[in-house]
Amino acid sequence: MKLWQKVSIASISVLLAVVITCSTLLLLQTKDNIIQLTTEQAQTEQWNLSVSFSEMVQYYLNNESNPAVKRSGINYCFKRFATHSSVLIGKEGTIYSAVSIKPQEILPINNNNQQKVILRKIGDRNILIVGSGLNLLNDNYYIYTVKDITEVYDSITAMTWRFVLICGVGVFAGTLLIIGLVRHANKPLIQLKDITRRIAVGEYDKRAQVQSKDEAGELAADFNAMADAVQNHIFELEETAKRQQLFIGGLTHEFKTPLTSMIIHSDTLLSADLSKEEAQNSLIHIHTQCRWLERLTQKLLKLITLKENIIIKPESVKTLFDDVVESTAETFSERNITIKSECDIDFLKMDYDLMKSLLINLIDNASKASEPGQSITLRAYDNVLEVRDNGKGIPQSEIKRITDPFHRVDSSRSKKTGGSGLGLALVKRIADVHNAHLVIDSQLNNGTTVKVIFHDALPC
Amino acid sequence: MAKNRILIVEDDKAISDGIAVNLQYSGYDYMVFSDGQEAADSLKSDHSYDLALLDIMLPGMDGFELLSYMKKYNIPVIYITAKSDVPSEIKGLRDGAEDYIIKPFEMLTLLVRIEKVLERTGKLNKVLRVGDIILDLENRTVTKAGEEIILKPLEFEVFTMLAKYKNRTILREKLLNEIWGTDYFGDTHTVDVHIANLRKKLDAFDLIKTVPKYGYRLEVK
Repeated sequence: MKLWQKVSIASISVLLAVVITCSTLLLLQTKDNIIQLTTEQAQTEQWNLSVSFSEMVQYYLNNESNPAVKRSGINYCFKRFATHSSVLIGKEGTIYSAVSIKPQEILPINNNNQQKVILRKIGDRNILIVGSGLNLLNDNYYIYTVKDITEVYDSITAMTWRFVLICGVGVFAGTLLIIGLVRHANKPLIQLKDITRRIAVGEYDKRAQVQSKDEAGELAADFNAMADAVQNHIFELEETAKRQQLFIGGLTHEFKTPLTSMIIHSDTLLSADLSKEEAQNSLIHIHTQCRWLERLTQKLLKLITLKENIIIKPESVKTLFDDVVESTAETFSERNITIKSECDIDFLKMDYDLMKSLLINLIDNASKASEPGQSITLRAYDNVLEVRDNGKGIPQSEIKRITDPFHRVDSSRSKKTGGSGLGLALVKRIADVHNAHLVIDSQLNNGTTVKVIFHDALPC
Repeated sequence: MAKNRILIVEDDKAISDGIAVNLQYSGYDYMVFSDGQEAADSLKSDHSYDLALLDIMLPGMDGFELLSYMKKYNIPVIYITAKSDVPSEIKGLRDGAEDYIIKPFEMLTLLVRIEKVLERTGKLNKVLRVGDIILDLENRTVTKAGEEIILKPLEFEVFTMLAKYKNRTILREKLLNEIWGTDYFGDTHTVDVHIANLRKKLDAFDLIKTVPKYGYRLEVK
């Protein structure tokens, strides 16, 4: 059963119970009141009749009166005050009666002045009888007021029906109102449910559009916040998966080229009767490719296992620069490229070997982009290490992707410059583990500047 | 009888060297370029190629672009590439390449594909010459020093295969698969028997070399 149905049924049940209880109590009370009022009226009437009759009898008659005079006097006096509901009973029987029943049989009165009341259903009529005894001229008389109060009952019944009708309409309207309200209150929940289902099937960009400021609105806001978080995570996961796929794709590609020439040459050596020189040539090719694959795997291993065994501590930047310049000196003198280093800071928190590897990679790239005779500048200032060259530069469109593994500006993957396509990927990884980021500025034919900007490894 | 001439555009020297050596041994002429632009420019002065083997990722101009130049001179193209993704393969073939070979590949596969493309485009030599033996592939006849020699159909197939890939050792299993078919249940001894017959009929005891534990080679100096 749905929540709105439960809430509606509960509310309607309570409404019904309250209405029925209240109406019943009210009706019973009203009925009692009306009957009591009617009874009191009848009592007053009977009492008035009784008092007026007795006074008049005592005024006109006395004990010495002739019994015949007495009888007609009493009859006369009673008639003076009698209404269509009055009955007078003497010791011999009914003296006067305006009604068709005999009240003395229903309500016998003992010989006292106390007024008695009875309500009796006779046939389909409700009859109210009020009676009292009276001693007049040494005789006992009984005066009754007999009222047919069936109409009172009828009006109560009619009133009951009217009440039922009004309550019915009220309850019906109330029911509609409750269902409407509950469903309206439920609407944000239903919307959230729909959105949840859509998100569950992969539409991560869906959001709940609930404007209300109540709990449902708060829930929707929280839900949206959760959906944002989920979407971000999914996006990150997808990005990671995509990067890994690209990486694997690049890797396979990278292995295929050397493998192809190794297969071709070994195949040729096996199948064809090559001259000594040709065979030598094929072997050289195979050997070169093997060495190339070896270097590639070394770099890959470094890239993958980078995060292990890092020791970040303050190191002298000057020592690092000298070390780097010395390591690369041979290549530079060969290609007639000069290197300058400017060091404005003393110490920087780093892993020495990794930072050396980073700088050598950057210098290697810079030297590949440079023409003989040009120079490369190595600088350290504030929280920045910088490698600048005046070489051929990188096209703007490439700068964003240049740190992707296996990405080369020259898509042919030519071995002229001998790059594995992993150098800058490694540089970026090293920068990442130092909580540093790379800024690459480049202008075609005007040189490239790579800055490694440290964030929390501030100079110390 | 002119040799088929093949254009190779491949920027990896190790690979182009390997292909070149094999083409030479199989009796093809070839020309190698390592730069797409250079290859395209060279076509203006010389475009008498029967086939082009193109890498896709090339410096200068990529293989897809180069294809239009080849089409201009009616040179059929086989792509040789490390790009193993389906969209690239479809693009290559849809643009009009004859074949698409993904690195790494077997040299014999490349040779067979080259031959099939040449056959399809009607550029394959129908006559093979091995010393004084002439094979006419169209009429399925063999002559030695002008005299016709009768070979059984399977013997003819074996000799044709050896002659097509002369100076290249062919595995017994390869011969068996290519000629008898993969569902043939006989063993490689069948191949040996046919080779013995060929040697006898063609007096080719020196010509057909046995490479122990490997296969046979038709050796032409």
